[in-house]
Amino acid sequence: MKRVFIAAGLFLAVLFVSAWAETLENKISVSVHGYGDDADEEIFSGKIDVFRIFRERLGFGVSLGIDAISGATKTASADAVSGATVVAAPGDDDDEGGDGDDDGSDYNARVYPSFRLVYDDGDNNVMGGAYFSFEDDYTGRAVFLNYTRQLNLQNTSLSAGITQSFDKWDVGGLDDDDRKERQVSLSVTQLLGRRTQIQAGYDLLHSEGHLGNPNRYIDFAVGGRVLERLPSDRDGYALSARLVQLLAEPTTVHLSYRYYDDDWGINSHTTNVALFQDLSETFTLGGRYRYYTQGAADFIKPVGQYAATDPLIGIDYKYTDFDAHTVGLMAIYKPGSGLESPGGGSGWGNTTITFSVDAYQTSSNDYIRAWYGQSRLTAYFASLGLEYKY
Amino acid sequence: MRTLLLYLLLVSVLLVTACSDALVRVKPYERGYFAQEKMLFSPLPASAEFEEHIFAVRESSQGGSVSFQGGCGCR
Repeated sequence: MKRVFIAAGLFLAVLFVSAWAETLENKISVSVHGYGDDADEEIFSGKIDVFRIFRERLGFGVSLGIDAISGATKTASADAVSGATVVAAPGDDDDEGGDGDDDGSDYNARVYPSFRLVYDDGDNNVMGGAYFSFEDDYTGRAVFLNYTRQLNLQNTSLSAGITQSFDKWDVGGLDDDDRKERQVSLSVTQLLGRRTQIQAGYDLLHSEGHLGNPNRYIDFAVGGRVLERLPSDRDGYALSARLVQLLAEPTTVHLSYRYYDDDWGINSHTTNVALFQDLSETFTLGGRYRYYTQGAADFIKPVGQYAATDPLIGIDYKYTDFDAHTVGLMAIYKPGSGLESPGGGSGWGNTTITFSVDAYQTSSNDYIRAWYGQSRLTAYFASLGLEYKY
Repeated sequence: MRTLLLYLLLVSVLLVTACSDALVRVKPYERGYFAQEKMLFSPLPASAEFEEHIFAVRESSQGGSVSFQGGCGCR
């Protein structure tokens, strides 16, 4: 009874599991992605990931991703956030004092390789690795370690993970060009029955260094150019829960919820609901709706109220209060489902193709109006992935 | 930090006690449904990773993700 109490207490308190545990399977994944919004920001991305078992219970994975990111955003109108002159963003320098037109053709590249080592003996899974990200003005380096323990005939799994990044800005004029982030994640997954599983988790988050974007600044009439000024550290946590239930073959519902809170005064609620249905033995179609709402940081002022002498200046709308809606369609195609591969080995039966497309829209927001010259932000993004198990 | 230690302690206790038989709800031979893609917490992992990156750039919240997200200047 005591053990049940302890388990129940943990289950209520420790919400959400990282799904970082990776099973040992030889596989190659290739994916391409695209993002575009009505602020003329675009991202085209591709990634390849190879994982191979090289010894009993041990596997090694490497991945390489490349993003092409547009010059981002337009110059906002005068008298925007500052009540003074101009709010600007990357790629706008050439246009400063010009017509404010940015054709979005200025692309920056981001290259992000990573590697990981996985140990799995059926009951214990350990994954550790490193991640790198290289851009013109930013270098990301991170290490991560995750442990997952299977219990109760694999009805329960517990997971604990930590990531630590040591990032650096390569931009002149910063007092501190470091940015470090740490995330500690604890989680539990439980099978509730033959058709239902739940997952809950708790994440502790810490960031320090130059947390603002040095490419965002305000040109004040009095005081000159001032970069975005954010606090030099940030502590927060996230509680989250997920449920997957087979309603009735062949339909599955996915529900998730996350609560986030930090010491900047930002808190948020995120809910997501998705339905998947098998349309045939090889094809599954899904639809989703996501709702996000957040409050503003304590230091955020109304548009036009900042002065150059303010100790904290938030320029990005994401530090203000706003809502966002996302709707999407997903498809999973397994061309070889139901087919037997010769020799039980490779073939279409080991291939999975996935596709998703989503539309994202924020609520009306004064900062978006000041920054982008429109009341809300609308974005579309899509992904196409192929995974082959060999 | 105390909160973190508390949770680590709880996890350790749970690992040692190995939970309870009451949590054995599904026998190994009853798990056929969980082998389907649509029963995974993240049925489209490539899409999930990309969209989490988009949300991390466009929104202020972190955590609760299904994959590790490294740093980038866009955040």
